[in-house]
Amino acid sequence: MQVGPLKDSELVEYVKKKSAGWEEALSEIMKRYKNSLYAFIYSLLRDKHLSEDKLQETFIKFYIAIQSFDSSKKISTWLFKISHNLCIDYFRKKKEYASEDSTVFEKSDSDRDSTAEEVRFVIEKLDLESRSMLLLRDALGFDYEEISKIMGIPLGTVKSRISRSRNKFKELWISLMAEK
Amino acid sequence: MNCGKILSYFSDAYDDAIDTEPKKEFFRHLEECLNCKKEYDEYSKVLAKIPTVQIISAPQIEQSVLTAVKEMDIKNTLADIIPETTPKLAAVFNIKQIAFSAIAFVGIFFAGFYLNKLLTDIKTPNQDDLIRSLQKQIESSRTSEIKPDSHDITNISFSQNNLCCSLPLHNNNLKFVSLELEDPQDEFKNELYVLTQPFKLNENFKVYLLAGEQLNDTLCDQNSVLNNIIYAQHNAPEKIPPLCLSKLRYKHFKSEISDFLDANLKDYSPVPTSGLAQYFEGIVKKPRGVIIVINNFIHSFIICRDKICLQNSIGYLINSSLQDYFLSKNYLEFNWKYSFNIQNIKLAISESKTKANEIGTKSIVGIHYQISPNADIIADYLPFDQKTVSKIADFTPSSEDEFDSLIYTGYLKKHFSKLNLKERSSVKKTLSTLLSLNNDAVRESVISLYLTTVDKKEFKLEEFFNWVDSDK
Repeated sequence: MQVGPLKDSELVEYVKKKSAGWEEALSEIMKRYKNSLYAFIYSLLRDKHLSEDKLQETFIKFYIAIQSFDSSKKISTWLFKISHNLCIDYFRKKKEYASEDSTVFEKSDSDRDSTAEEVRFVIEKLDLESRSMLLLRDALGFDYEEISKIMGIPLGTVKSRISRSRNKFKELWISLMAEK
Repeated sequence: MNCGKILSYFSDAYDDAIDTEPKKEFFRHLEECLNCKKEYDEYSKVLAKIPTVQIISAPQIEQSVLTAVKEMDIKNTLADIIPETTPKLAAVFNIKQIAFSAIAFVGIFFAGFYLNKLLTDIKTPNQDDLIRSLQKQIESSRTSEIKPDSHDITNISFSQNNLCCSLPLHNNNLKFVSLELEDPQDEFKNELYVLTQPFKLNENFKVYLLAGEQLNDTLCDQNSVLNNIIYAQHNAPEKIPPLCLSKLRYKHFKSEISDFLDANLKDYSPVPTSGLAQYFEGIVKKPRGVIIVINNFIHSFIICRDKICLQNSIGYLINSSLQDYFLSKNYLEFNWKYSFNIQNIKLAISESKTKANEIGTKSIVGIHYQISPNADIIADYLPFDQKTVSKIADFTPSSEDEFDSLIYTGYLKKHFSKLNLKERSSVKKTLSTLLSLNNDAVRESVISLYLTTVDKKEFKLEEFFNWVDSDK
């Protein structure tokens, strides 16, 4: 089956109905979104293995819930909502077991050998909600309304929080550059 | 706009989301104030670095996700198909395994070759085998080509009182559509429906149209039933029960329906539907036509896809959890709008055709799952055990709940397993045929059937196989 030319909604329908070639359709959905999702998850978690797990989990959860997904809606919003929730859950659990595991995200300066890593390093200094918003808006190009849906918070809050996060990011970036 | 206020507009300006008027003021201020311009330029420049986080390639996860979801599907399927029997199966398996192990030990120790051979001949089933088998079937159903002429038996189930074989047309890619119609307003009460003459579309493609009416108790006399059960078939008229033949009546829109089917269904291939289909089993060796079963009692328009064969004709033993499972997976769709008239038949057929195309199937079968008060009379013309049919015909649940609970609390066992299986030659013949196929999946289905329904006091597993094999 040629899934390349199919629209997201058509791919979803294939998977939903388990029509012949649904595996290809699911693979195509993964191909289309895995990079941006991984970038998002990795920027939040800063651990490659963990991010890979969460990426897989995102698609598995997507598959489990696909029957209830309205194909007319944007698939990306839904996928990012799943992955965002997974990351929040992770951090929540991590906080609960903080005393047992406190070394996961420690990165040395040598890791910051590219602009992307420097950006991640700075983003990491923000709180989780601000991090997510900044990534969704400025890295992945979601609009405020989509971010509001992904994160389940009011539109107005998204807007003001993004503004604040940007200011904070800029401050941190400048101080990082000054340190160099 | 002053320097203090302009900072609050940076974010909106960066998103190009400021209203026209403030936007003008914002940029006018930047033109006039070098500090603010420098500040905003820096702000934009820093934020422009954020998209670089996207420069990372995700690992290859597609295959592992696919494997995970397929395994999940299999587990769900198993859980839904045998939700209550699993522990019992496990218990039986354990006992069996222990028993077999003990026999094996003693056998190898004392009898050596003879019992060793016996052990290799009798394959002990276990749940892992069943899971592997199911997994294999699912895998193959998704990868193999459609074989439109194949109708190997891949599954068995009970229909009413009889063991029925599903004969999926697409061997490893079972997909079929069921079409049934309803008469919610009871507008065709006491009428005989859809009696049509047999016809064929071409040399290899025959259409069988079966029509039946659910009669109420007062109408359930032999004549009305015989009038009601119509076998219109081509190619084997000698197999039609003589009484039915004599009562064939052509009434209502026969030409319209046949013309319509002729024009619209020529691309379909047939799948016999269990109970009634079993009647045709010996007749239609390699069916290439359509069987549509129309009944005015259970009135669903059902789409099935993937590999699992739901089948029941006049029986009702479609397990409701299985049905729910299919519904949850969109394997079934119910459409209750059909009244029994030619327009709706056309509509239903047309929709079923669309759905069939959508899911890539070419098959249409009918499924009934109601209690049939005329079952015992139908049984005269079907290879059913008369005694059992009567028992089942007597069973009429008064509510849906009762229906479910009765199924789950052992209706099958109560009415089926207590029968003396040894006396049921038709069942034995079917089982024997199934086992002779040397198909692991079928064999496992038979084993599963035994484990879930047969009275263990009557047979132990090995005795069961011996019994099945005894007249080969």
